[in-house]
Amino acid sequence: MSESLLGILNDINTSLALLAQQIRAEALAGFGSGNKVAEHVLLPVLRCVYAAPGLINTNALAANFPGIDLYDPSSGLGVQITSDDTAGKITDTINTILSNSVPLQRLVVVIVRHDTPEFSGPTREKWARTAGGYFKFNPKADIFAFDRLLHRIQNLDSTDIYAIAAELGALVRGVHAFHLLPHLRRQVESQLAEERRIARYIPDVFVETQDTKYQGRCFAHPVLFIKRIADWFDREPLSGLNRIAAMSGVPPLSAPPIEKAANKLDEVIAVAESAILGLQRFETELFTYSEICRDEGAHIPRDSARAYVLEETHYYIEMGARSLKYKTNDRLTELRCVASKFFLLTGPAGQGKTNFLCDFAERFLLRHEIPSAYITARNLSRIPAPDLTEVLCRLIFPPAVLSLDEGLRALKAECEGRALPFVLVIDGLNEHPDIRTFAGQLEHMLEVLSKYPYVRVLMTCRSEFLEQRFGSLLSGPLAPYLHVSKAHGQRFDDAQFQELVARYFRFFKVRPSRVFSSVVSFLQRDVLMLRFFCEAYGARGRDGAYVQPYVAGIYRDEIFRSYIEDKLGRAQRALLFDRSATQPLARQTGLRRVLSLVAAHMLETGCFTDVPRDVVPAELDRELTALLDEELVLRHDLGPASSMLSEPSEVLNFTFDEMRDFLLAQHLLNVHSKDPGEFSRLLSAQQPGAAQTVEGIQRFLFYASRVPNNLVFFTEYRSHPWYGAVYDSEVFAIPPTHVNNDDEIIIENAMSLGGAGAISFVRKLAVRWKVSAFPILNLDFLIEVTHRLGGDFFGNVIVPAFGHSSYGDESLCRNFCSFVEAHVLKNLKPYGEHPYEPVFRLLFVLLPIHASPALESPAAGALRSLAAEFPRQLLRVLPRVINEVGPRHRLFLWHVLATSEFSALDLVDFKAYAQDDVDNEGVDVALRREAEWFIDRLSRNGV
Amino acid sequence: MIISLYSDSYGQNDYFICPRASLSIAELRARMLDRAKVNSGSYASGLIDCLYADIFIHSLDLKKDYTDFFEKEYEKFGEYLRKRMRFPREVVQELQVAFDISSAIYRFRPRFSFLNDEYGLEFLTTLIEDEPQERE
Repeated sequence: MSESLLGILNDINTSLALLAQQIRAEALAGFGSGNKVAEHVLLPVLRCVYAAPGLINTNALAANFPGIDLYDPSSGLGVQITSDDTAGKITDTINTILSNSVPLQRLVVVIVRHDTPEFSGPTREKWARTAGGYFKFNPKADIFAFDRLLHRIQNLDSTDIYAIAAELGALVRGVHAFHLLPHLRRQVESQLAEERRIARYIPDVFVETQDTKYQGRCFAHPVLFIKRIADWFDREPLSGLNRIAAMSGVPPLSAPPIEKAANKLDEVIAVAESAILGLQRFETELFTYSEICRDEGAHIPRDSARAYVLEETHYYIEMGARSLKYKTNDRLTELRCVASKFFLLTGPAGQGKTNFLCDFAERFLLRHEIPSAYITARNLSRIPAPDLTEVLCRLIFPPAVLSLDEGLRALKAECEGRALPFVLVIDGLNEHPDIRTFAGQLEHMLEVLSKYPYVRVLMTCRSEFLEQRFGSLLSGPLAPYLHVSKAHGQRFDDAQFQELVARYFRFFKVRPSRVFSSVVSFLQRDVLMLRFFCEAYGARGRDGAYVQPYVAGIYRDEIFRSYIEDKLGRAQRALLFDRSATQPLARQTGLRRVLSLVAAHMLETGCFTDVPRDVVPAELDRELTALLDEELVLRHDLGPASSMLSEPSEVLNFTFDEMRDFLLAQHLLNVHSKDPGEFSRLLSAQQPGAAQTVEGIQRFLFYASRVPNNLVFFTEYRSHPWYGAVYDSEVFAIPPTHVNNDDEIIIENAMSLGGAGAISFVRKLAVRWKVSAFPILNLDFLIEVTHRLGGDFFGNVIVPAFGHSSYGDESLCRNFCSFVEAHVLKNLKPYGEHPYEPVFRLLFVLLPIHASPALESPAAGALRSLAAEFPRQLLRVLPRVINEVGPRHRLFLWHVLATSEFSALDLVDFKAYAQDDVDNEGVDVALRREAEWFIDRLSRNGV
Repeated sequence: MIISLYSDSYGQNDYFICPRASLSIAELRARMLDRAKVNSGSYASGLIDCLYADIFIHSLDLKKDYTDFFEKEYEKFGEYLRKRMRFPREVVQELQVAFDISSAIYRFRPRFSFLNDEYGLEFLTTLIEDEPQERE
């Protein structure tokens, strides 16, 4: 027990044992200084034991004082301290004292070893006889080692015992010199740095979940935050309700007071516990007010003279009471946090529990200088010891601290002086590889810790494991001390999502200028993909030669491949740093084999979840543990129990579904390289029941087939039905470098057939306007196909693709024109090269869409704006456009040119084209009229 | 200084009342009653009294809350407003300025709809704003 006598005596025993061991080691090594040290150390102890405050070292009286090391002149007590436990040494001591006539009343011999040696009866009698007439010496009682010294200490007054413990602690182990707080601070900082290094903690990315963080604050700094809870009551939250109650002839409510003056941890806990009881009663009262006109509220006294008012106001009273009950309930939760010793944050994977803990430790615990330590369940698993308290001591305290008890007791004064608890943070209880054993050990450790009133433990655990593995925490003897908080998903607004992406980019060193805005928009909606993306393309952790490519899409295959490579490297490094490793180090091949075994099991059974853990053979246990370590690729879960009476079994799952599909496809790719027949068998064995997963595998096999290095696979797989099944939807989801001219032929053929498929292709091609990023299958290609396929294609495909829109949305045509106004006009230069030529050409294609009878359209407006600001740039594209477009588009073209701010001289080259339309009797009247108007404009300007 | 913020989709205003002069609560109350020109003990006086209490007693003083509880955690007041209170950037910037020149910053959410919009802001300005007092 922390401050019990038993604990103190254990402490003394530890110090004495250490002293005996050190002096024996020095004696064996031939150093004689050990006995001198023992004299100094034992002096204060023996002063207490023999009630001899005058006992001093004889060296202070004279050099080479004969026979004894300590002497009390007033009582005549002499003490010989020796590590020599032979009878001859004691005989010599007695003879020396006698021969030098030392004025001794009593001799005591302390032997510096743990157990008192036994001397024969005749020897003892001889010593007693020899000393007999000169000084008292009872060999049975006056010769002893540390075991009997401890017995004598036990018989002392407790004040003396505490004093001896303190002296021994200081002199033997230097506990007075422990600088625990700086050490603990460094421990937390070092763990946070490690979490940051392995990207489990991304600073600043954490956006607060108010409830959880606030509860954490109340838990970790109760003395401060109980004042804030009290402040809430000071702001008179009942005033509104009481005002209506008074008007309605109903007695007012009063909230229980919360004492703000408490400045010590134990006082604050007492205040919180009392306030909890008061608030619980208050909540019951509020409930009756929330039912004031129903049965529950019938007993509330009321003034019948004001019944007519209550008739009108009872709804407001009920609503007010209900609203207040919610708020009071929050205060109740906060007070429970203040009073709790253990705080457990639970929630499903991916909710940011680790990031929360790290952020909380860095921004709250460290900044408030709250004594704290940060460990993970994985840390605890790496030191093999049956007693978790011993492991914990080694993890958080300096080596000089011999036990957890000693370290925690040393913290007591610091904690009391600052009115702060010591907060031990344990992240990821579920990440311990042996959860069954760990759960019991943890419970024992928490029981030990619960006995230190100033110690608090903040833990996280995935919710799936909480009930099954750590259920006893929720219902066992520790339950009254435990507060459980559930992590909820983040609810951000758009600006916060943008901020989130920006912070991820900054942390992972992703260059935003090399990421398309459409990709950024996608990533704002998918935080998980954002993480994968950043790890795949960011410069963090890569050498200086790395140049981030332009990323124009979410190329899942590329992203996951890069991510897996990185994770396997990290898992291997984890094995390298595992100091408990006794086997040869694992290689990436072993890690890959684990993934392959899990994937093979899924494909064989057609069941894509809950792979039994024993699928991975024992010799790959370390590789499996390394992969499970961070649960970023593979995770262990609890599978369904085979019966009501059996325990659920541990199973393996891939962490994310898309990652699973990718890894299954990679496994199939490997199978194909070794045995194409087996590959075909596995594909044909997949059942339609797992349609979603099969679709996922199809997608990733398609991506894999398009990787240039997998040409052999591509050659065979392109004729497989699975390839064609996803071609239309996925050909735009592969990097532009993986697309070839054959794809253009396939897509042009598909577009020529019209229909929804063609419209979908058009929309995808239209946004690939940047030819440098998309050398094939781009907007240029779309415009060429549009002109090649002619008027029907324009009417049946281009118009619906650009002109139609869902209810509430803008059409693609209008969006495109807005893009020109908002983006192109801002970035274009009057002269020089630019990437917007396909955009200009598309605007001419879009001229008839959403056109009014006066030939005005969004594209016409955009072209006119371009002509006004950048006439040279637009003129450069005009010759090509005039040769491309048909009569329908020329009608609009002449209209735009006639109404734009071009100088007439600039347009002179196009007069002949207009004249052709005027002279051609076969053309539409409107076209001829617009052509004439254009020529007329030129003529009026002297051209 | 009074800063207005449309805080929700129902058009509900949040006001940040930032008195510059370090007046006591009682002085603020007296100022409001005086400027409202209400007779002592009248119904109108009661209403103004309620409004005063809603602002200066029942509302959270963000400046005090920050300095008392969150200063160590958030280096700047703006950070506290942005991360803890989740206020939009433009309001954060205004409040950051107000922090340096105001004795308190009360976040007031009116219970009466007439206190919303331009009229509400004008009404509150008349009753509370420091500047008319300073001109006198």
